Amino acid sequence: MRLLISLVVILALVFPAALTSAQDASFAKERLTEISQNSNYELSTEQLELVKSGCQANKTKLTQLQASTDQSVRKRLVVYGDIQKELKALELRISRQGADASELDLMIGKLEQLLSSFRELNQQHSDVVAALTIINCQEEPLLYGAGVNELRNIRSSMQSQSEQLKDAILQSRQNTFIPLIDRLLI
Amino acid sequence: MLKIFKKIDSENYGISLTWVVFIVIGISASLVILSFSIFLNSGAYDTVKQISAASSTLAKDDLEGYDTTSPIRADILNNYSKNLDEKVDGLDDQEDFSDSFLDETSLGY
Repeated sequence: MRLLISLVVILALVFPAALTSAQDASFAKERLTEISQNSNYELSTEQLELVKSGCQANKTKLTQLQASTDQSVRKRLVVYGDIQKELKALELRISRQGADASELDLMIGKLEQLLSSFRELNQQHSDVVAALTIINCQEEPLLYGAGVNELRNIRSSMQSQSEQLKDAILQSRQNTFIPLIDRLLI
Repeated sequence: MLKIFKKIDSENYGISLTWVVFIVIGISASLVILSFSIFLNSGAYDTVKQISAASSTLAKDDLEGYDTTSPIRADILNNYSKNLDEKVDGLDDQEDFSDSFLDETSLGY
C-alpha cells in the first residue's frame, strides 16, 4: 500500500515536468520552423552534417552568450534609466522656474523609445537561445542553423539600437542642452 | 431640406446633384486620409510619440533621491551636459553585441 502511494506521488511529480518539457520542445520547434520559413534559410548537405556534429557542444556556449548578453543589457538599462531620471529631475527644476524644457521631454521620450525596442530585442534573443538549447539539433540541423542565423540578425539590431542610444547622449549637448542653456541665460 | 435637395436635383443642370455631393464627400475623405498619412510619416508624429513615451516613462515616485525643486542655473546645466558623455563612454556596443562566436566558421560549418 505504502509502495503504491509512493508510486502515485512520484508519477504526480514527474508527469507534469515531462509534459512541460515536451511542450517546450514543441514550442521551440514551432518557433524555429517559423524563423526558418520566414528567412528561407538553407544549408548544403555538407553543412547540415557539420551542424549535426558540432551543435551539441555549441549549446553550452549559447547559454553563456545569453548570460553575458543579459549582463550587457542590464548595464545599459541601468545607465540610460538613470540618465532618464536625471533628465526628468532637471526638467522639473526648469519647469518650476517657468521656463520651457520641452527639449528634455523629447530626449527622455527618444531614449524611452530606443530602450523599449532594445528590451524587445533582448526578449527575442532570449527566446531564440531558449529554443536553440531545447531543440534536438541533431534531428533538426536546418532549424538550428536558421535559429543561429536569426540570433546573428537580432544581435546586429541590438548593436545598432545600442549605438543609437549612445549617439542620442553624445549629441545631446548640441541638440538639447545648448538651446536650454541659451534660454536660461536670457 | 430633403425637398430642397430633390427640387434642385430634379432641375436639369446636366449633372446630378447627388453625384456632386458624393464626389465632394469622396474628395474630402481622400484629403483627410492623405493629410493623416502625411502626418503619420512626418517628424511631427515622431515628436508626439516621443513626448507620449516620455510622459509614460517616469512617475514622480521614481525620482526619489533626485533634486527636483531647487532653482537651476545655466552653468549647472552646462556642467551636467559636459559630464554626460562619461556615463556612456564605458559601454562598448561593438564588443558586447558582436556575433563573432556565431559566425559560420566558429560554429564549424
